[in-house]
Amino acid sequence: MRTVLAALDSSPTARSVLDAAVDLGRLAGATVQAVHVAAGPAGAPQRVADACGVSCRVLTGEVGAALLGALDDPDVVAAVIGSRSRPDDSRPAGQTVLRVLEQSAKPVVVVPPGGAGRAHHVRRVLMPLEGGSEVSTFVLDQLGGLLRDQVDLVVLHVFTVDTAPRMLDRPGPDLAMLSSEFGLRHCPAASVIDLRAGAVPRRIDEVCTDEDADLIVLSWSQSMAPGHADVVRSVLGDTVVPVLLLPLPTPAEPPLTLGPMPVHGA
Amino acid sequence: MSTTGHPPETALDERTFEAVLFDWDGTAVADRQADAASVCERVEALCAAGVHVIVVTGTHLGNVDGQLHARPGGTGRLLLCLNRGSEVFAVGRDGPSLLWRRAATPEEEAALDRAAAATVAALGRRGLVTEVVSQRLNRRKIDLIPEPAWADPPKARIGELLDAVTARLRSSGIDDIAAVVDLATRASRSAGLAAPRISSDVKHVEIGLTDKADAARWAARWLADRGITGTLILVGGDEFGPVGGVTGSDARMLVDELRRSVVVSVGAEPNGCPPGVLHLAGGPHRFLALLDAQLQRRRDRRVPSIDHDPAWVLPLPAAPHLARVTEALGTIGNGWTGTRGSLEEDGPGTLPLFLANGTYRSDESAALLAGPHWTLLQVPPGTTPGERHLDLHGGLLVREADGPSGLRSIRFASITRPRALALRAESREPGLAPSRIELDAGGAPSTGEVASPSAAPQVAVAGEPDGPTITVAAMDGLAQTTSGCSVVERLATWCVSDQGPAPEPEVLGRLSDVSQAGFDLLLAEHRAGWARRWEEVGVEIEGAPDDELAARFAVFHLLCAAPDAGEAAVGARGLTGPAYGGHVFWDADVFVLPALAALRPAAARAMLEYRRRRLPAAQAAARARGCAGARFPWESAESGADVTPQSVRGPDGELVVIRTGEHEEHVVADVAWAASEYARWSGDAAFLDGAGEDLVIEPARWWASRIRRDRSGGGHLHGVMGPDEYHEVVDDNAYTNVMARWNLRRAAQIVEARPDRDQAEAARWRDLAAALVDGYDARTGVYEQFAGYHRLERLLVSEVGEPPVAADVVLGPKRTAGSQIIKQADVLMLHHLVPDEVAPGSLKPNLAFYEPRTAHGSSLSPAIHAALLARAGQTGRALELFRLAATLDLADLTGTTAGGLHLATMGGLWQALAYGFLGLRPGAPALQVEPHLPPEWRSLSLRLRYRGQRITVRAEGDLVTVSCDRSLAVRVGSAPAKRCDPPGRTFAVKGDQP
Repeated sequence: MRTVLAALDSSPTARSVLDAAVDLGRLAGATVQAVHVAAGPAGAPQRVADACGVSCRVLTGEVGAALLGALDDPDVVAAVIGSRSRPDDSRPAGQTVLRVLEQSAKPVVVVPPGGAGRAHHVRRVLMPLEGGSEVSTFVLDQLGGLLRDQVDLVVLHVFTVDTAPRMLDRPGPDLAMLSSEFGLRHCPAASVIDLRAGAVPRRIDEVCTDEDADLIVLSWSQSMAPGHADVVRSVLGDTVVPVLLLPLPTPAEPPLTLGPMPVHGA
Repeated sequence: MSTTGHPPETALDERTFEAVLFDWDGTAVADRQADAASVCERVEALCAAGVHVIVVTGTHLGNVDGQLHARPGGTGRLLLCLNRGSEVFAVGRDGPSLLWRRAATPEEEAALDRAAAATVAALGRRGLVTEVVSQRLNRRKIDLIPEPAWADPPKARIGELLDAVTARLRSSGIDDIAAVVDLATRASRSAGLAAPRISSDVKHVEIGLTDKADAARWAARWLADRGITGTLILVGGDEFGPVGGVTGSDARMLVDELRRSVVVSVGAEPNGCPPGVLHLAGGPHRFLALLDAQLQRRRDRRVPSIDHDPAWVLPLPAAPHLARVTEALGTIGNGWTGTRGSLEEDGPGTLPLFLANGTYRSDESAALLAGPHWTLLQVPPGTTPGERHLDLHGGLLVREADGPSGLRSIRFASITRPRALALRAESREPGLAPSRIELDAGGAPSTGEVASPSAAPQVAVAGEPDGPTITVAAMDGLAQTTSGCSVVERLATWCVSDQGPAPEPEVLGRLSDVSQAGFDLLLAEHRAGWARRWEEVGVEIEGAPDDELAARFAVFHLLCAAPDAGEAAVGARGLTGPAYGGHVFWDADVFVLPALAALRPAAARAMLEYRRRRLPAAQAAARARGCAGARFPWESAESGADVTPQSVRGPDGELVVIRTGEHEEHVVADVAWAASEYARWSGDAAFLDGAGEDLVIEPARWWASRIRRDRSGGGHLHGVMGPDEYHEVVDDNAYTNVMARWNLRRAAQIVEARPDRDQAEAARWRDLAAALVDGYDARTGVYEQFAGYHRLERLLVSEVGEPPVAADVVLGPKRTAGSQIIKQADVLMLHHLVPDEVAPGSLKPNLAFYEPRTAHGSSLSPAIHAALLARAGQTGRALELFRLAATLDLADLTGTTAGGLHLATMGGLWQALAYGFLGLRPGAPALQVEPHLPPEWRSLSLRLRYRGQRITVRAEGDLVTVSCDRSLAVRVGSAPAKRCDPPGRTFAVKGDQP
């Protein structure tokens, strides 16, 4: 039985986490299972789960290890977790959350704080892609398996110094051609291909607003070590919509055409 | 002959040969007494099927024709190369007729006699009695065993004969036949024969002026003239291996010209075969079986083979995500039409397209009209794209799919009959069938509706009921072969009309012509047509096969871009894709036209005719701006009005304003320059005195009314955009001003040569030209690109990224416009186009200044810089940029090749070779040549047309050779012009002629 785990704590974000999990369960055709790690009864998380008609299981032990253990269950297809307890927390995510993100083999949706009470129905998904046919195929397969093609897919490709086109004879028509070709090569299912230039996190934020996206998908190589995952760190820190992190198999393929193309965030 | 291997025997029957060249005695017949009726039957059938049959033998006409007695009547020719390479007869229904004969001089005849006598005498001194038994054409035959028992030994007894001859030689202390050959060779040279041909059939040693190698070379050239080369030729013999220490007589057919041909021996070959020769054995019976297999392939209409010569055949990308790039690269055309290389089944994600030159839609887009998809077929389920190759030499696109279906196909747009289109496909699996020809569905999957091959022709019309249309009519054939293959053959034709569908009788009449010719004849003509074309436009780069192939690829698509009659609208992507709607830019005038002016002058003339017929529209555009003369549009289509879009919707939905149409008016002078450059290459002086005059005069009038004088008298052009589009609206762009100046002076020159014309107007043009500011700083030798350029942020490309880079994307348009980073050659275009109009010696300082500031963010840039850097002697960097341009489409460097090939880059690539690396400049009184080759190239050779004659310019080391049909003047470097008489002359690049 396909299951989406909702990792609830006692913060106000728990409701947003559960809402996101219920929506993900709907899209994924999965049952939602709330979990709470505690030495005693679930308390507030239990009440949140009850209010949504979702069963809540109490896990024991160290929080990170308990959540990772639950994620190992073969039935679990994804998990939803709050990024941090407080909106004023400057970190992109709490230490425990980061550990889960780095070690989970399953996709994890990270819900930002402060979203309590916000109705959450994913309709438009923003997926930044650098391109690369194999990586794109992998990510789109993963996403398709999870969301079952029930959402509008907005693909963002951000040109950086390293990935800018080499030539643009006539910028308007050429960018339109590049956009069309990018879509055909890497994400034929996308309803929008948005090409922009500049700092990747900033463009993700812009397009998320412009396109009214309610979920950002980032794939990554699961390392928060310095020099890695700058985009993931930045997006988790700034975004107001949930972020779905897809673990990439390693090593990522070498770049093909239209610039080097591992998925942003790696 | 392939020395790297040969096809396995089983693969021989899976190959279609276009010519069979073979030895007679021992290969086709057992001996000269054998009944050759079965050979005759096959030879006549092969010729009827279009296969050329060439017999190479040492004997004379009476022997071979008397025995074979074939009287073929098909499109394939029977040639008899006789008398060991001294004669060639063509045999038709009326019998043999002499095609060629090597005529010996009296001195050569005497030398042959002396050589034979000296050889016999030398052998006699060793105690060996031999005799000159006959005097054949151009040779003398010495019998080594003049004994009755060996008077006329059959081929089957060659082993015994060898033993007897060897024994006889050894009895005189001579080791073997090879020793006699050595002796005869020495005697021949002493007798005055510089290149004697000494051969032996064991019984004889022959001294001659020619041998089978000469016959093979002649035949190879004859076939090459018809586009038949390499693996399209089957060479058969029975004596390739050594006999008696002497190279087998048939090994002489292994000439360099046939090095990639398929060679088989059906002889006993007791000492084995040389590398590359497939030993089949089996004698004439086996050889006839090979001919039967070829006849069966013809009867079955199997898909013909191509000559997979790596110097001419381009493998196309197979990766699925590059499918649309492959379609563009694999476009086949003939100047009149272009058919993208889509798979026969096309489907989602594909962009099939059939375009006709100059046929535009009448709606606001004014884009080229997409014609019916004539290549659609239904293929067996599961058929993979497979491998596809573009055969540049033959103008053919071929496909070989892997997997069970084994689908193979070949297609072409006839270069000799522009209305003929042809496609043939075969499959081992059921399911191959003709589809209905469909109209443009925007890449949607084809319906797969099967057309009935036995029904009436299909007719499909794309376009508007009362407007432009493209009609395609096709006749399909479907057959099952004896080996179980399905074969579909489609012959098609096309018509364009600007007032609704073309009348059906006209279309069907053309289809009837195509059908009557038939696929095989169309293919033979097409191959021969391309062979002739390449004879006139060849590119050879020794030492750099990838560069050579890329250059040939560029020339191929240039030739496919423009017809050589009527008018030619050459869009930025030619007929290879939909990008820019097929609109005509300065790309055509400045980048493509100079190449075609030298390669295919009639096509260049047709391009100018396109501009000429749109002069009224250009004059109206000038009037609308309150000016005189003609203002040619930045983007042009059918009407000649400017069809540059005002804005386009960007990929993220924002509106991008396009200002080129309003401001990039240098195109006006570019058109004038193109007309002048055409005249310089072609020598067609009458053009500028007649039909083409207004292409120079009317632009000059535009500039004259457009220039504004300041208080000190200086002339200015305000509010223009130069080639560097990073700086959109500027004043006194050096490129625009100097091109305008050149235009005014050139127009004045034309008028001044005609006393009946208004000389006051010419004087005014001269005055304005002298007044125009050009931004040149004599102190630095650098032109300022436009007024105020030097005050911009001093930024170099190296500070932005590795060029080529779209700097406007990295920096943003605003910062880029505020910097000195430029998109492409701007000032430097002047040094390329009008070197006499810029300050002497200013190329190097301007290269030094602008090259580090050039992002090469335009596909137009690298090739022109390659040309200029080569001229400046910086061949290393020149080669880097040449290779960048060469791979721009082949490696899809811009990411937009899917929308069509960059024709201007291809024209620029040829210009880099001609104007840059060879340093050619056309014009009177002399052709200028000043080569600068990179060390990676051993030599560079271009064939082209110059002032009405075909010439070849070849540079190697410090030498340059000009080959010509008529006398011409050549100026090498700064040396005085020298006369070059046919067949040509070699010049030292530095110093006197060697």
